[in-house]
Parts: sequence; structure tokens; C-alpha cells
Amino acid sequence: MSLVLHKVTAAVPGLMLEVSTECGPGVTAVFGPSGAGKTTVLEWVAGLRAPTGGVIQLGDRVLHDSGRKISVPARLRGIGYVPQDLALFPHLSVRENLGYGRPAAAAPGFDRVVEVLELPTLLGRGIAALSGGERQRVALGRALLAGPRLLLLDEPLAGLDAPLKARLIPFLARIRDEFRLPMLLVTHDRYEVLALADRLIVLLAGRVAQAGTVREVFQRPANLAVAGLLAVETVQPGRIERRAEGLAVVRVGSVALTAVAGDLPAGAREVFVCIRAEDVILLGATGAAASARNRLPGVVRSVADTGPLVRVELDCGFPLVVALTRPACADLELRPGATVTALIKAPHLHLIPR
Amino acid sequence: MTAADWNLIGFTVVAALAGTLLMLPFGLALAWWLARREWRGKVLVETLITLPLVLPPVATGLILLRVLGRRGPVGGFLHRHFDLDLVFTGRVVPFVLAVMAFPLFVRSARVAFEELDPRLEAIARTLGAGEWRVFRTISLPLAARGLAAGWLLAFARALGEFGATIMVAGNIPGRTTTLSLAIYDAVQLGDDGRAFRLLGVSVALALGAVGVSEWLGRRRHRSRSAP
Repeated sequence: MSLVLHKVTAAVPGLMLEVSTECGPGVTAVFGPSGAGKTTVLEWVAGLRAPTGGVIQLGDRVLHDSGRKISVPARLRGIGYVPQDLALFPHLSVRENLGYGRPAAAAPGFDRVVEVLELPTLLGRGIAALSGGERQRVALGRALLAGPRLLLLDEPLAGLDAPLKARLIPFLARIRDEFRLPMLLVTHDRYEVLALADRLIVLLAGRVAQAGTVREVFQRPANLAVAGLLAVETVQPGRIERRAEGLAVVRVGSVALTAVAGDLPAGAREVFVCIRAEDVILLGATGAAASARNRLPGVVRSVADTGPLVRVELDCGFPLVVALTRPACADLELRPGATVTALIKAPHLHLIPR
Repeated sequence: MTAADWNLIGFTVVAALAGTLLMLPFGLALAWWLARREWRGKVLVETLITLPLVLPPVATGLILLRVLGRRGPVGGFLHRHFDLDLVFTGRVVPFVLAVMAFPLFVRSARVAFEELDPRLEAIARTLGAGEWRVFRTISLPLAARGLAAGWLLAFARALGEFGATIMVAGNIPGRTTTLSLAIYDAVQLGDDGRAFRLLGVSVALALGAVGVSEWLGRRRHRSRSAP
């Protein structure tokens, strides 16, 4: 089931939006700075806000078509929406909130959802008696139990502290994996994108600046604005080989890298390794000993001038993007085919479980 | 207190109750419509329904007298088809009180609906609820305190109505006389004892209604500010 937005337009205060994009199955993250129009896109899809032009289609069903004056009312769209403020019904118990939208047959079993979201002990409580994370799970459950064909999540983890975020991400991942429900996730947090999304839509000032798989977009930002927003040039899947003394050894392709394990969950195996281009130091081919844990011999693939910094792509067994000043680039005489050694300090490798 | 006093109090309370219950469904519908929808002519309707609040009650009474009288459009219709006369009877009193209490209720009910977070209603729709279900299960219960406070205020207003009632229902002891009309009568006849007795009853009723209304308003604000 894919969601298609074709030239959907609207003017919200201070912003002209025009969005064309397509989201397939799996989790699609809509990523952008605040004020880019992310929430507006979700409200269009949910049917809570009417765009002034364009077509929105889910599978083979047209939800909105300004030209043909079609607009399916929100209640008939079958799209679950968890807004940022959650909007739980304050006068109803957790059980009543969960059951509010439940149609007779289509929804996945009540007990199953309650179990997956670990809600059994909360059912009898009122909303006021819940913590932030519990509220988040109730709102997710309420949307899921209405049996939606698509789930929209607006900044599901914003406003929660880091440990709580880390605890909630597995719940979202479980929903993604257990119920095989396509999800559209609005966020301005790279961590959420990497932890949850398969595909990424970058929204800048009301327009889709780039769309693609998460790795594609991080690896090949379409322009400087996108690159600046993502701020992580290298994203590679890796596998934790061992952990000791707060460090983790990660295998990426043929290379073993050392990273600070930090708050990486103890059981995490598969991770994304994230490296910012500014954090990489290059040595000439005959580099001396250095304190950096990661010494990666590599070959320069490309050199591109991007303003004050030069963007260099290496092949170190995996593609690695490096940002250097122009004089540094000149000193090392970097050109495609040159051999260099990349140094990365362990704390500059960021590991994100996936 | 004489039996006549008790009858009088009973009649006034029942008429005010009947009148405010009569206007309740219309008041709720209009308040919701004003709070939640934009439509052409909204300003006109807002002005019209506020009118009885600012017009001299006697003037509103005169309009009602014309409309409900035997030669008026509504009164004439009822007289011709149902042989039913309204003006200068006890049964017209609730109608008059309904009209007089209506704007007060609509104003507070509108505020109660406007205070609701429209996102709650929107989310209920995404969960598959139709407009009536959203109103019944979300808007109405969440606005309940504000609505009850508004209704009590309207009820208190109806209890003390004087000008419009005397124009349309007259002042027929034992049939159309209400509490405030009786106080006026008692003062006119120099029966100060009765006037003050009835005054005490009026004060007690008004205090009760307004007090509960205030208390509901306070509770509403407290529950709103709670985390």
C-alpha cells in the first residue's frame, strides 16, 4: 500500500507548501526543521486539514483531489493519527481510550495490542495518572486498535528525555514489525530517523528537498541545505563484534572500527555507524602512529569543492565522506586514486541500534 | 408561609425549570454551531440572540405578546388549528422564560464548547466517529461542567423574570403570578411581611443556583490547570 501526494499545495502562515512524494510500505520519516510544514503534511493525509490543490491517494483510493472536488472525511479514511500532543481523551479511562475507535472485525486483537505495548496494568487508570511514556503508548494503542491502513506519527518521541526515548523506540519498532503497518513518521531528530525509518523524505521550507532510502539520503545529500540538516555524512550498517571497557568494536564491511559504546543498549547487535565528515582526519599515505583508535587506509574516490570545505569521498572498505579545508586538501595533494589514511577517534563514531 | 406562597414558589420553580429545559436542546445546538462552524449570517444570528439580554424585558414581552397573541402568527395558528390560547395563561410562562433565558445559556455554552481542544474532536473523527458520536462522547462530556454552569445561570435568570412575564402572561394570582410578580404585588398592597418572606425565598434560590454555577466554573478551571 503506497501513499502518493501529487502537487499538494496550501498556504499556512509564513509558508507556501507544495509537496509531491510517494511513500511505500515500511516506515517513512518526514524529516525537516521546525516550520518546514511537516505536521501540515500529516494533517492533509489524516483529513484534518484540506489542501488548496493537488491529489492524495492511498493505495488505489483517492483521499483528496482538489480538481475533482473529492475529499474523503477523516472518519472514513482509515488512517491512524497520533498527534504530537497525543490528544488522549481526558474524561475516559485507558481502556475506553483504547477502545474508542475499534471496529468490530478489522482491528488486530485488543489483547495483542495491549500486550505488545505493555499496557495490561494501566487499563483501569485515568489519563491524568499516566506518565509521559505511558501516555505515548496509550495513544499508539488507540490509533492501532481502530484498524488503520496507515499510521501517522507526529514527533512521537519529542519532549521525552533520552532514557525514555530509548525505551519507547523498541515499542515503535515492534509495531512496525508485528503489525506490518505502513507508517509516516514526522521528526526533526536524526536518531529517530536512523532507528526507525526505511525511507526518508527531507522537507525544507514547504518543499520536498530530497527523498530516498535513509542511507542514500544521508550518503548523498542532494544539496548543501540537506547536507547541513542531516549533518552526518557517513551512515553504514555495522555489526557489534565485542564490547569491553565502554568501547565497542563494530564490523563495517571488511573493516573493524572502535567506538564508544555510550548508552547503546546492552543487547544491540546490528547498528548504524554514523560519522560526521568534519570528524575525520586524513594523513598522507605514510602516516605515523597516532592516538586515534581507528586508522583506515583508503583510496580517494572523488573530491568536490563545496564552499569553505572540500568534500572528499574515500573507499576504506566502505564509502567514507570527509570534509577538509581547502589548504589541507592542497597539502595532501588529494585527487581521485590517491592513497591516504583516515583517522577517527572512537568517541566520534556514533552507533545507533537498528 | 401560606399554602398560596408554597404554590407560588412551586409554580415559579416548575416554570423556570420547564422553560430552561425547553430551550436546552436548541441552546446546545446553536452554541455548538456558533463555537465550531463558520457560516454566513453568523454575526446576524449572534446579534439576534443577544437582543433579549439587552432589550428592556417589557419590550421583549411586547414582541412575544404580538407573536403569541390570537392575532399573531404563532398564537393565531395555535388558536385556529388546536383551539389553544397561550397569552394570559399559566402555560405560556415557561415559553417566555425559555426565550429570556436562551441568550444567557447560549453565551456560556458557546464559551464552554470553545474552551474544548478541537484536536480531541478531530482525533475522534480519525478513529472513525461520526459527528453525532463525537458530540455525544467527546464535546458534550468535556464541556459538561461549563454547560451545567451556564444552564444554572439561565435558570436563576428565569426564576426572577418580571417584565416579559407580566406582558405576556399577565399577573393572575394563582395562575400566572410568579415570585417576582408576587413581591411587586405585596409591596403595592403594603403587605411588607409577605414581600420580605418572598424576598428571602428569591435570595435563597438565586444564591443556590449562582453558587453551584460558580462552584462548577471553579472546578472546571482547576481540572484544566491540572497536569
